[in-house]
Amino acid sequence: MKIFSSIRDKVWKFDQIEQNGTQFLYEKNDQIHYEFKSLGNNRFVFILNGHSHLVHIIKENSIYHIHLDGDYFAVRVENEQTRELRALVEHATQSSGERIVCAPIPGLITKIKVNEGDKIQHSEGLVILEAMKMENEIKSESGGIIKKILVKEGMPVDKDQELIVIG
Amino acid sequence: MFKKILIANRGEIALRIARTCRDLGIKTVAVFSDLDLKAPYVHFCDEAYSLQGKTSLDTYLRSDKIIDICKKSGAEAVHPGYGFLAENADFARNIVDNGISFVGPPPEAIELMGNKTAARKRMIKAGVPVVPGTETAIRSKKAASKIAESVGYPILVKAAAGGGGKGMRLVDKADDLDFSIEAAQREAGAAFGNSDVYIEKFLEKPRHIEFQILADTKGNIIHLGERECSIQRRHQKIIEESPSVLLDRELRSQMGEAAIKAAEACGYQNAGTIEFLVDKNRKYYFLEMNTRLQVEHPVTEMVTGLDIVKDQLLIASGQEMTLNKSVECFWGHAIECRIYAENPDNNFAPSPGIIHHIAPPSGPGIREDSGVTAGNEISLYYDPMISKLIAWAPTRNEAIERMVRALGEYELQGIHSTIPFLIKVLQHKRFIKGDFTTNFIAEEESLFRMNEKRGRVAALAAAIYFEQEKNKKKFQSNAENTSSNWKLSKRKKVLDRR
Repeated sequence: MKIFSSIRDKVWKFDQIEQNGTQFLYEKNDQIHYEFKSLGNNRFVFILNGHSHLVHIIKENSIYHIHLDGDYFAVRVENEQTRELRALVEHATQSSGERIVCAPIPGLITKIKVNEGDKIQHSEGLVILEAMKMENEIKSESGGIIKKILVKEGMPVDKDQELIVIG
Repeated sequence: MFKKILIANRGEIALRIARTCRDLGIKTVAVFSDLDLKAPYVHFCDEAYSLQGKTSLDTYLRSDKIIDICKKSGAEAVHPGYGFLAENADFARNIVDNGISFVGPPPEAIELMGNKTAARKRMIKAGVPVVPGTETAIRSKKAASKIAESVGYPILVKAAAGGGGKGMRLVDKADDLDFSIEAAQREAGAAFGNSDVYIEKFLEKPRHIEFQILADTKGNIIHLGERECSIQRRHQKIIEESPSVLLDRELRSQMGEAAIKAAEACGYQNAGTIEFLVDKNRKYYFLEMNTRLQVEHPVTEMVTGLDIVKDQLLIASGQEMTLNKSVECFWGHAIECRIYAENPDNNFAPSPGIIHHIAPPSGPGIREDSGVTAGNEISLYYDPMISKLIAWAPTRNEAIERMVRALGEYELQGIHSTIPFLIKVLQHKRFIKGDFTTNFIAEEESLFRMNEKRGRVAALAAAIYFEQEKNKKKFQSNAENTSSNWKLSKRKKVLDRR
């Protein structure tokens, strides 16, 4: 079985092979030697080719939040079926042409910089979301037309609340 | 010395102050908002009183509530920490008028240094170099354009009552001047209720270097050397160190003298900080004075061996300070990293949430001034800084190594933090060389790139975890099937008996 781990645009491909009831992990043709044991509390000791690490792993849907040696990575892990399925879903939503911009964090909408019907460019500022005394500009991840604005200035919003529909 | 003081603050600084008080045998009174009941400083202090409310405006900014609690608890003095009411002259006056001691400067000094044009004027008179510009608020467009021409573009239009970048405009050419002054005046009026603005030459790529001073009530003023605070993100300091690689003995003594002059000129008492900008020709200019304890005071404590909060309390109670002359040489090198609840992987978005697990680093030369513990919730109501990590070592390079080691050790679950970003800054070639200005973070895109070697280890760990989880599920579902087989056979037997 194949396992795909991706961080941002970078993808690593691993092969899972079962021999005599034991699982082995390969990268290209090299077998990966490791020890991986849970310490409880989402903490794991991970020894990879003799290099020792303390890893924190917190799973959120198909994303694995990994803290390792002071660094942080959001890793998406998929097998062949889930990877194909996601590609299909993404293709479908793209061709339907509607994208919804959600609040990445909870906060207060202090300014809406666009109007319904506006034509916008990629990475154009849409709304200002204030949280922890800091103003955060939410930018569009694609170009298009503002189809609907679902919030008002002065409105508090939750994480993942839908803000704007772009068509 | 005081027997009991009230700490009008929260988070790491409230705990920091309370620790010194305990060392000195002074009883402490904490005040807290509804959201801070579980914060470590609340149960560390000897007494704690609720401020009834959630927002800063309803709680830590309410001087009336704080003074009532002083009276109720019998606190003889108030330590304001930093932020909130620390630089509010009316608050300081109110405290003193109620017969309570204020652990900070006289209200007049806070007032003077809070007004940027008045402070500039006083500094010029005292012979402290200031950034070239207008001495008073702009009265006419003609005068403004004359000054702008004489100091040379680019210039900054700044609010006299300002701070935090509000009412500030960068002007590149004469054509934009009138418009920028009007805009800055509007913004300053809305933000501070005072629309006065003034002009300053814009220094390109300066370094931010500040001097810690201490002044007692008997007229003694000393400085404790400098702190290098050029590593900033959006005008927010994130890494500070002492000493600065830029200063030699001569420049340090010149700037130290200027800092003492500045403090003398405003009749200063207690601990304060004179901020300077230093240009590429190593010329220094007075920027502003912070009339309170600074966030980054621990780096000075590490290289001088002093406890600045202790000196603040000694001064406020009318006693002599620990030292009677300025510090000329330091003991080793210290670096401070501010840890914020922000996600550097997502444009530093605030990361509220509950801390499920926290295990700070320790070992040689490491100090942590933290304000949180496991089970605490990081809310959107207050500043996102949760902790300060300080590393000390005999040399700068060793201090950097130690800080990287300690940040790598830090375990934190439930919220994102700026730890991964801090490590990237500390390991950057230019940081190690000491070759940076306040523009460093904006200039270095490499700070935002992924470390692919560590990324691969993370990718593998995730793949192995994914696989183990799947096997566990398989085993569980097999187990469920077996149990239902037993049930089936039992049911069959029951049916057979009928």
